[in-house]
Amino acid sequence: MRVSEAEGIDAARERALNPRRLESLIREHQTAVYRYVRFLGAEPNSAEDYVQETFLRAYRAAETPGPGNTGAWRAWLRTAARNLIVTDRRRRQLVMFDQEAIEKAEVAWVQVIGDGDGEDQLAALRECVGALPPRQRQAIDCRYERGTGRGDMARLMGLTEDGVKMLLRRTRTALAKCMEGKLAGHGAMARNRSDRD
Amino acid sequence: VTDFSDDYDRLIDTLLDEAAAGQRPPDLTSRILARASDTRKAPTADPPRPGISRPTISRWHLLERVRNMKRSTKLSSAAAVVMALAAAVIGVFFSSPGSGVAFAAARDKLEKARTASFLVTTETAGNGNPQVLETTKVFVRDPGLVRLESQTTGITMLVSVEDGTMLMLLPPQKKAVIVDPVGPAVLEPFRGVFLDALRKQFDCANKPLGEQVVNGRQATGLGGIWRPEAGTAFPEFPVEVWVDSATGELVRIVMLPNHNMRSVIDTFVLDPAVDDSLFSLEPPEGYEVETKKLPQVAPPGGWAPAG
Repeated sequence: MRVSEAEGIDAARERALNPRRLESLIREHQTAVYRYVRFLGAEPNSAEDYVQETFLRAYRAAETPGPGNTGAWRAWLRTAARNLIVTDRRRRQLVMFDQEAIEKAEVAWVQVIGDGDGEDQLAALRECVGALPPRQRQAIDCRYERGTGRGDMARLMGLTEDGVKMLLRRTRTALAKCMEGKLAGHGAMARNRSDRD
Repeated sequence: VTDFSDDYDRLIDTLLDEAAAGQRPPDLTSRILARASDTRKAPTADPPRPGISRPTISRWHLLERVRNMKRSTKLSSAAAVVMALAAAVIGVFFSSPGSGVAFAAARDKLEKARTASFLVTTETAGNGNPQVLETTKVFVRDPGLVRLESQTTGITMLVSVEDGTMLMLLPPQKKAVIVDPVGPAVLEPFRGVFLDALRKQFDCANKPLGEQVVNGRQATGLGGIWRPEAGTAFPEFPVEVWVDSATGELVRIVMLPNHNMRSVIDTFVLDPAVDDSLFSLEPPEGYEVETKKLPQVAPPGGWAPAG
């Protein structure tokens, strides 16, 4: 065997995961992957399955990003998770998945979350929720803390269902702008929102 | 189709779900490591007994998904199940040399058949009182023609894999929907039906299940795990195949995707006398015709992310 071939094999072995590296990888990235698959529409139980299968794919892969390359790993894991979801939905329901649309979702994720795991954004969001005006805070509490349906919210708040929908949308927009103010370097979120609004 | 039209709004929605509930994402480290360990041991381990759910498959919550499906998607789901079942059948037979005279005869009959019909019943399992979720009559013909008649929804679906076209018929509404082009993502499950492809694609371990009376006939059973190649669109799952001990005719096939659900195929007819019009993709007279184009998606194969 030539020296260059041997070096190539050694490099490939280095990039493949062993159980110890797998554990480290899971601990470092599972939160980000979980949030990502939830963002792509997975219910909590399904999200756990997708996260599991994503890391198992990494474990079985012949070649993966090198140790310590957090950004490359995040991108690799997101791609694996995205492929899992697309193929799983296609398989189960023969539902056509618009590839362009899901790629746009990936762009939104990268613009808002970047290579992080969402912790900074979550902390900022909690602060922003705490600073909401009473009416918007009530809407957020009803919808997200108590899981109140739109019809019940409408009766509770004296609005139509469309009115509730609009209130929640405006509140999320306000929260996005508030988060942008708290997170320097994450301006893409509000910028994109204002472009569309 | 999932709506990704407002990704930024949905991302805030996702974060709010977590923030308001005050629940951290679960720690899955132990679970994944245990599964990884199983994966590593898999090549030398005995295949699980058919009928015992496999951990990964049991978590797919198939039953809940089927129950929550719209009527129109139930048939599509059934189609996928049917294709998987048909693939499993052929896979078991063509990878089971030396499984006895009955199976050799059954394999020979299948090898010669160019048209087949069978009934697929998907039902709940495990509680002793199965509830039928979907019943579909299936006709397949080489090369590349499939007809699915849902006896639950009344919808009929015809597919020509070679032409890449699909026709859905909704008799109550007298409506025909032509899907053209169908695209590789939809066609892929149907390709699995055809014998030449199946011989190459599937590898089932085999385990004798003994003899018992099935559908009133003395039958010999063979169990196995149907394993698709990596990158194909089906999960692996246990299957049971029962053939008439005397004649080698297929009697029943059982697929067990998880402990809550099973699919049974029976009423097999090989090379049935059916009219060619059964596979016609021309809308019947008197039907309102609608043509739809589906978004084209990349075929499977891109499973290994580009890092």
